[in-house]
Amino acid sequence: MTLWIVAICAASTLVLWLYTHVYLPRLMAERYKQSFRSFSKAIDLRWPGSGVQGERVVQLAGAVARQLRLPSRTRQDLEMAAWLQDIGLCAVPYQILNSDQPMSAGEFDSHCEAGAAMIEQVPSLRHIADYVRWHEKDNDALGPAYRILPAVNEFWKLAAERGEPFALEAMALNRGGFEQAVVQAIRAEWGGDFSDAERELIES
Amino acid sequence: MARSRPDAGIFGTLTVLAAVLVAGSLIVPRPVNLEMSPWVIGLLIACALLAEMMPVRLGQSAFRITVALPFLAVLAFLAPAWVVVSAEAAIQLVAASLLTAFFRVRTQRPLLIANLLMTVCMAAGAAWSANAFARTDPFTFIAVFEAAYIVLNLVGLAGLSRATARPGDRASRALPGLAFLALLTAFQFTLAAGLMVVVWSSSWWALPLALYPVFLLRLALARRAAAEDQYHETIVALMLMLQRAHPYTHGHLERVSRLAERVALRLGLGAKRARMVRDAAILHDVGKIAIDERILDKPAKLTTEEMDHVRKHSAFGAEILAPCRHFRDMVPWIRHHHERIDGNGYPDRLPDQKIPIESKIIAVTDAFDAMVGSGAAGGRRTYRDPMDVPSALAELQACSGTQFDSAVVSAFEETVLEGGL
Repeated sequence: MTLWIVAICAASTLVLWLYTHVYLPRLMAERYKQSFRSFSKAIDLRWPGSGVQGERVVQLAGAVARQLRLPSRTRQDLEMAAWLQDIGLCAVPYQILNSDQPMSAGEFDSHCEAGAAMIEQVPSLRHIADYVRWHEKDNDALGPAYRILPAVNEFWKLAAERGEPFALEAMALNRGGFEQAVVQAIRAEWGGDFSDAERELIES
Repeated sequence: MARSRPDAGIFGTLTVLAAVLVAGSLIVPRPVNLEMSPWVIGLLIACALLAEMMPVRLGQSAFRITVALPFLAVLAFLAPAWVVVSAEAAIQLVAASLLTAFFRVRTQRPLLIANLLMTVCMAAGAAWSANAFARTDPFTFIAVFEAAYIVLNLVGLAGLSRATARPGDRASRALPGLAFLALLTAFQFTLAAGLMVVVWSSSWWALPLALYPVFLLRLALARRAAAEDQYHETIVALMLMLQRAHPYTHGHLERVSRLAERVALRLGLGAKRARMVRDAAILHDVGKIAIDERILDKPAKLTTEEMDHVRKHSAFGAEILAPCRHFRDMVPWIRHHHERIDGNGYPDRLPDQKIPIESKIIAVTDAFDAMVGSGAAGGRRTYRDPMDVPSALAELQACSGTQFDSAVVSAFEETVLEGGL
């Protein structure tokens, strides 16, 4: 009887440990991902031409954070911010978003501040508001973690226009003044060097 | 286990009840008289105090839960009832003082007194029951003690919730679910049984080890609460996005959701389902994020093309929510909240029997609020003046059986006439 009780106590403690340390963290991570997909879908529907890179930005930002050996908590925050970075686009008028004319810099930049302001109203996300505020403009006054999203976004923008090799090389040549450690991390993540043909194309 | 905001009337009831239960617990003789070292008693009380100092909020409710019961149950077996009742009262007072002093957990004085009286009732009632009905077997004793304690706790909680509820609130909203309670009770009994084994085998050193499962349970509850918060924060974030895109919706969503929940309850939907209807009603227009605000705010009748654009919002809303598993049930409710029972609605022109009742509830409350508006700036449609409540109800009645479900309109009317606004 005594042994049974001790065994049941130990087993229920083990089950509770697994529930707390394995099941619940996975559940939370999955739920966050689902919520972020909902937000991305909303932005995608509001601005079908946005070309929002969504999961590609999240993956590359996370990989760069790993390359830079940032703490796992910072990496998670950065990935969350990457999911949410364009949430402020819903504050930009529909007509401007869907106009044939390109958006002015002011109109486009307003979405960063609007997004950050929205995120500041959600208690569990408040701490990532600055990542969202500075996801388009590189700010060398901030730490390296805050300089990843602008570089990754620029990389995908250039890559969409001219291809990945061009984007990497242009950023390595300090176009946009991005943090070079971040650019090197993107390059390392992307696969390093280019073929001679690619280099020739870039230089031309 | 529970804290709420008590009214003055409840103190008298609790004091009388506490006096009766304490007297009862002192009169009934104990089945066994054990000579237990004061150190063991002190150690159990210290463990109970530490467990009491690890409260965790229970989901979205105002209730906080602690897991000191297993220690109290063992204490009740080893010591006379007056020791258990005094120890429980002292633990409550000391824990509240320490939490206030060192952890800035604020507790209002009336709340503290109500909680103290409740815990005295629970400890005395449980000790009385266990001494009266349990035999010398320690495991039966702790089972009876814990069962009585939990029953008294739930009765107290229900009473406090009822006494402090606002009009239209349901006491059940604040109370934990049965499955949760069953699991929690089973865990507490297991832990108490383990403690009893430790005490029986005189392995006193192992007593503080029991705090680890208590800590784990606290962590589990805290993480569950965080998961629930995440669900609500997703709703808040989507609402913020919608309000950024369309400031007109500010206030409209809250009013519709409150009404929709009450109508759902009146129609006999369970409390959990009604809460889901409330959440769905908050999100019912989320698809308008993808609609041109110039058309929505147009101060004139819409053209056919513009109307077609606006009508996409219910399907867009379903698309936006589809990636979230926890909104899975709500997706069809939101997609179909503009269907009509005569089959002329959108987006799928569903016949009456295929439209979910939840969509019908949202349709009626949404239409009513759109007609009445809030009276505040931004709370009404731009192209027509707001109606008064009787006119809006008459309009709903006129559309009952064609656009709206008759039963839902009737339930809605009853809710409004009962002061549900």
